[in-house]
Amino acid sequence: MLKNRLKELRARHSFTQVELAKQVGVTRQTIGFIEKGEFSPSVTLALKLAHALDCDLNELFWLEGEEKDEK
Amino acid sequence: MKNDMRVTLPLWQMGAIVLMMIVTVAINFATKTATFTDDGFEFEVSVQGSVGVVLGIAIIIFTIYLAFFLARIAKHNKQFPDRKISTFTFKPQEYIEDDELFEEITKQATKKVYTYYTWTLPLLVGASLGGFWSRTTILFGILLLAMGQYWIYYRTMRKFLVQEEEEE
Repeated sequence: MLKNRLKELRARHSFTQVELAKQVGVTRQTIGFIEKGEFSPSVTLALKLAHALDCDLNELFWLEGEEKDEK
Repeated sequence: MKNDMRVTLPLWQMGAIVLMMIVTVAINFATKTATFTDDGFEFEVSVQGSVGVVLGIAIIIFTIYLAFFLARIAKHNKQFPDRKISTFTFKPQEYIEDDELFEEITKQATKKVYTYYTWTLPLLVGASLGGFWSRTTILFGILLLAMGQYWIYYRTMRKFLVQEEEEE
């Protein structure tokens, strides 16, 4: 399962879900569902999110099993 | 999403199907078919008495319903110019494909409908082959199946949308 720190990094940049959604060209709902871990984005969207939040892809998304190694 | 007509479109379709069911039953009572030994047949339509009244009312309601439906589409298109509903197109307008999340949800809903038809259509055909069902019963069955399709699609989309409305 794909885990993420989208909510945390979004808050750090003081973005609302709507603002971030606009930046990466998706709906607010998509941001909300990714944050809850209920939707895994495509590689393209994941890269766009990482770029918008000025971080590495690995910092934003990781696989559940790898969680301990990363943190 | 609350006022987005693409979500409630299946309910409108279901309403139209109910009216079609009434017309189907009324036409059944209004027609007589006679088959002759020389392979010919006679088809007689007699719209009289209570059948005529039911058919007339159903057609009037259907016309009003259609007018409301078209007015609602016009309102939606005015409210959401970037998510317009086309009245005459091959693509079902209840598909919501605004981005990859909605594409995924629409895919889930259409998969459910596909599974539903995979099971129900052969069952309907099998039951019809028995020869016990009249033409009207078979037509009624097809309309019921169509209603089921829209209900499954609507429920799947609604389940997802209720979740996101709660967050708003």
